[in-house]
Amino acid sequence: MRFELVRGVLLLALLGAGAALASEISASVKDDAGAPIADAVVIAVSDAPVKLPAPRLESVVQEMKEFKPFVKAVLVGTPIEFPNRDDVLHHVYSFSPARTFELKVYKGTPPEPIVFDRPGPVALGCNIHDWMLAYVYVSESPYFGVTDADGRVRLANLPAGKYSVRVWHFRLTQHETDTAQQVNASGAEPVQVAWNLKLKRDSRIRRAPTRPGGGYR
Amino acid sequence: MIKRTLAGLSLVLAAAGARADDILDATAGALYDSNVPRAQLARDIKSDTAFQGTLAWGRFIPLSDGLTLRATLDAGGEAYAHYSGLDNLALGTSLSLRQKFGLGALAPWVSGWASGARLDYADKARDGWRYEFGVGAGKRLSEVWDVEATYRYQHRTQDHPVAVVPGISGAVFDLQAHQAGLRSEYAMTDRMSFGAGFDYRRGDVASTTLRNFTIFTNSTAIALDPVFGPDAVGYRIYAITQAYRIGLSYALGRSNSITTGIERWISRARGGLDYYNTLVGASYVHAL
Repeated sequence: MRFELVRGVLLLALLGAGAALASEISASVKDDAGAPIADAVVIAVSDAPVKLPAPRLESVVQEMKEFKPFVKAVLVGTPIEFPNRDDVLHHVYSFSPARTFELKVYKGTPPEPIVFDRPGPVALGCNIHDWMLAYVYVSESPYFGVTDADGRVRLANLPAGKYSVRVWHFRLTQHETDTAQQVNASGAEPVQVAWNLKLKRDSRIRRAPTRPGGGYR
Repeated sequence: MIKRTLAGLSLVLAAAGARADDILDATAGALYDSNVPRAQLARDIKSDTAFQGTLAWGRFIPLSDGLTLRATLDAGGEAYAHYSGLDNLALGTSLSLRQKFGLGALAPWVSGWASGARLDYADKARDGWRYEFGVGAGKRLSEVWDVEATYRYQHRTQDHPVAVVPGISGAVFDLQAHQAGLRSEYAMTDRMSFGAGFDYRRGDVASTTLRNFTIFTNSTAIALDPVFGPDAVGYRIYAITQAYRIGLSYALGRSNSITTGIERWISRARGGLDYYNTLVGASYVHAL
């Protein structure tokens, strides 16, 4: 009984302390014409040392001959599995410097996940279906998120402090470090961060057929 | 023979189902041809528009790293607005192997294919078989620019040739040709692509005209061709054709697009029998 009481008091104290320290960054990402940009990764890097949480297993699936999600942001050291939920074979690969790997033609889920142990963007492809494309963004900070269709993302429950906040997108024309903004996330109100980014044209390989008889393969 | 081939291919396709992609490609469209009889003189030149449809069902099978097999049963048909004797149905099979050298969409590839089809025309003199064997190579130079080169040998047979001139074959529609081509596509936007191509073809052509001494002396087969009129004569001649084409394709979705294009054929036949074709077409293309 006494033990339960002590635990309850400690929990309340922790929650109270957490509420006092928690901050939030609310980010908005638009292009240079003002249109919202989905699938942008916003990363907040604290000035203070941060203890990284233990990595959790994540997944990027192949379904209907597409990767889902299109952009997956994970913490450095995260293992990712690549389940193939299609009835057909896939051959997943990446050439990206942050993680080069190849999962040769397979169905189901490969027995060993791929560990993404270096920060940076990783482009994924399928060697059988050339139009299949997705990105894993490996963050060195535990504070990150992916923008929704409105180009918005909230980074909540941040320890109060100073942050360098940057954005990455697969069509970004500049280096992501050039997007960095310095913010002080110490108040009760969310800190607003916004970008208007210049993007490259979308040059993803088209899945639809380009000519009669040519098919898409 | 075709029944056995189709049955065999059906078994292969069914057995491969567990690891293969389904293929269900369909097209529907129209093609205007400014010179359907492949004629030189204005009095013989006749234009027409064909309404065309094709259907290909089959499997796309990864055999090993980078090696894929595409096997389909193919059906197609054409209905002409004016020269209904050219209306036809085709039923056949295609088999294609493709080897990619390396990983990724930009890896170069080579391919080889064979196809055969039974041709059934409203004008029975044109009934026969069509065979094609080809090889190709290509490379996507970037995400938006794709090039390929092909060579193909084509043979079209004729079931029942009827000779009208003693000592000269009546097999006007028994044709053989070699064709080499280059093709490139450029993605202008995420939905719109521009294509351009060039083909060089050497081989037999069936040309239909009124009686013509020059073409008579340069032909290797002669037969009556009532499709183009009671006095029309079909001649098999040897010609070199250069075909230039450009086209646009607009993606409606993941699996559907609208394509349109224009082609110009410049044909030089023996005896100075040059002729020209302009083709304009549009089609809806579906690929599963």
